[in-house]
Amino acid sequence: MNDKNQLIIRRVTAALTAISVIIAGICLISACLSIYFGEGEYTREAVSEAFSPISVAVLLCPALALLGLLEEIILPKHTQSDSKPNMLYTLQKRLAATKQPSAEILAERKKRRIAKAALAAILAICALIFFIYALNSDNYTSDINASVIGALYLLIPCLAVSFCAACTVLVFDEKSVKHEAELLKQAESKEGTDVKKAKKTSVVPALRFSVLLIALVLLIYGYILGGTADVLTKAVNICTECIGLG
Amino acid sequence: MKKFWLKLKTFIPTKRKLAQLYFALLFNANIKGFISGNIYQGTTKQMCVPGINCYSCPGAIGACPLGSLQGSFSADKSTLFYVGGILLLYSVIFGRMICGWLCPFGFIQELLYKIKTPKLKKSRITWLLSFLKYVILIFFVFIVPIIYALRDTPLPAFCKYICPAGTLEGGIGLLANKVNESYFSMLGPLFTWKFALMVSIIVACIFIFRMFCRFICPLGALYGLFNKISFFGVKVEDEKCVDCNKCTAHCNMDVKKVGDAECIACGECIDVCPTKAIVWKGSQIFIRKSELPEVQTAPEKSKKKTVVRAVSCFAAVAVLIAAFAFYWSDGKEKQEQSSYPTDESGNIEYGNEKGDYCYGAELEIITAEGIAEGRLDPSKTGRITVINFWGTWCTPCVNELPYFDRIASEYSDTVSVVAIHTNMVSETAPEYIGNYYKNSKITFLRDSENEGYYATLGGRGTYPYTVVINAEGKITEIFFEALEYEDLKAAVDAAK
Repeated sequence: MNDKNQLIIRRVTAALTAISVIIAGICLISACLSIYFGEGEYTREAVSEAFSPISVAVLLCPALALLGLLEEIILPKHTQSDSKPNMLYTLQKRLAATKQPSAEILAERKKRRIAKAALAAILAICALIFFIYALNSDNYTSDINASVIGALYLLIPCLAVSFCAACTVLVFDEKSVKHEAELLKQAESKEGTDVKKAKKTSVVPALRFSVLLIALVLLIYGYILGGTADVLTKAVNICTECIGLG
Repeated sequence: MKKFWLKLKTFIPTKRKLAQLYFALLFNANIKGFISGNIYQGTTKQMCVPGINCYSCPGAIGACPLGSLQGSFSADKSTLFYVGGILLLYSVIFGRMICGWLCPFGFIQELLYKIKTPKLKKSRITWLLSFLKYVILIFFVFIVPIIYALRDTPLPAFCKYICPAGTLEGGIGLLANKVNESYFSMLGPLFTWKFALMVSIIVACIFIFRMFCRFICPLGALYGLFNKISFFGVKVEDEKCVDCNKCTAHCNMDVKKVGDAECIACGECIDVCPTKAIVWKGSQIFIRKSELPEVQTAPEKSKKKTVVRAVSCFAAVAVLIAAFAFYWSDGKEKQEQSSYPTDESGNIEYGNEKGDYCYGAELEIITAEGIAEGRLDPSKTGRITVINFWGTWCTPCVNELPYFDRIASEYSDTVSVVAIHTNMVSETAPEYIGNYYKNSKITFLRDSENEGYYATLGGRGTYPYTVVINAEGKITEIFFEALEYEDLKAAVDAAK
């Protein structure tokens, strides 16, 4: 079998499996919603009745997954190529280590700093708005579900705004770093630049052992005071909310 | 044929996969639970396992660290110290290596990702989305549980609204067993939401590598904060690194640098590095390679390595088999019935089903001041009695208690309402009663040891649990779920 045919077989199998998985997921969720909004009561019979018709769609997924495995065994090995290395981080490190940046490079860095400051401001405002709401205990009533949903009505827009702002700054940052790299390359071609590698002193070992010590002290102290009793109580009784019984 | 066997060799699982499988089995060694439909109730459950493994899973032998952390906010401060200490210990020793090697749910996600479908590769968008788990950690794991804990209402918000491991391992695991038929009556909007979320996450994990770990898991977010200082994990030796970025390109997680907060220390980048700059942390913890005396020849070295490997594998398998055997024989999955009928007249049929006469038990009385003198048998009041089993650590119990209080006031002439607190952690009950039910007409009792009366009346490990008995002492109604006022009123009216 030639490479082209093998590729077609792989792609067809992958596409079929993807479609069947998505359809199975939709069917499962629809069946559950039909029980809840239909009869309103979950019983073993209602569940069997709702899930039996979709069992074919659901069982198709493991069958196609098995097909994919057979294809893997029969066809020659196909390793997926890695993503293209993202050199942005490396570039940023090298640019930061430049000893004498030119005026253009400095201007480019200034633009990036302004963009990051704007992003930080937007994030701070979103966080402030959200925390003012979230930390106000009056917003949490005895109706827990309503309180949490109410908080989410504010959290989701704040997250959306932060996400869009972050995406914008990220794209700008990338373009700016690449532009700075080009400018540096031009400067390097005219005269050699001295790139110094900063030497870092590590506080990691001290921090590591300090945190370990704190952890051991807390653990032993909590154990001696009888902190295990509450953990055991929660663990040996079925947490109905945790497993969705409600 | 040789080609076929060579091909088959590529399917041998890696050491990491074997480790993941091993720990998934070890942390769920209570096989008996899957067969009997009950959860394990032994003392090993006071220990938190490192990864996400719901303690309501029938097989679970330990507590979930995330559930325990959320529960500790509404418990005594000793619990917070204990759970905080465990989490800090795991974080500083392993960091996010737990996600890559020890977490059962991470293992499930990696298996799902193996299904052959088109995959969504990582990008700057996925890198930004990876910050979502910190928001979930702050809001669902800290803010909401702490605010409600200050009101004496325990609320594991992440477990309740998001965690798919609980729904999959606990919910589906228990409902699948025919013995738990009664749990179906508890299913409602919460189950519908969690089931839909669980299915969505499972489907997404097939297309996106470790989707839950990367974007949602607050435990991974917590461990990731300690990745840089953890004892174990992977690190880059800067003097050898040439910044080719092949490691980050090969990695499926949203790492910017090997060993950062997103790195799960799977070690797959180690082989990809052209200059061998990536090493396991702690690999030279006792002795540096340059200091090793060159006394052993190559065959001796390899023989010693093989022997060490074989012994380690044997020991690991022995531990796993021992765990299975121990939990199979332990039998601590159902409370022992330690109560006996107070009237053993041969003609009366006692039981814990509707229509049976209710068993009795002499239980201690709890007041706002503590355990009072005297005992009371809730089945012998001579009136319609509503017996509610509850605990201050249980959110639905605490939420429905006001309705019982209302029934107790409105029907004080004809109905007795008895709220029986679990025997475990009953020290918190007097203060709670003093704060909220000091003048209530509810009679508060404490269950017998090992929650004996609860088990006698047919409790199956879920709280709250309510039994309504008529004036003759016969059971007229049994509820496994939390109740609204209308449900209680209807049950009381039906018992007349």
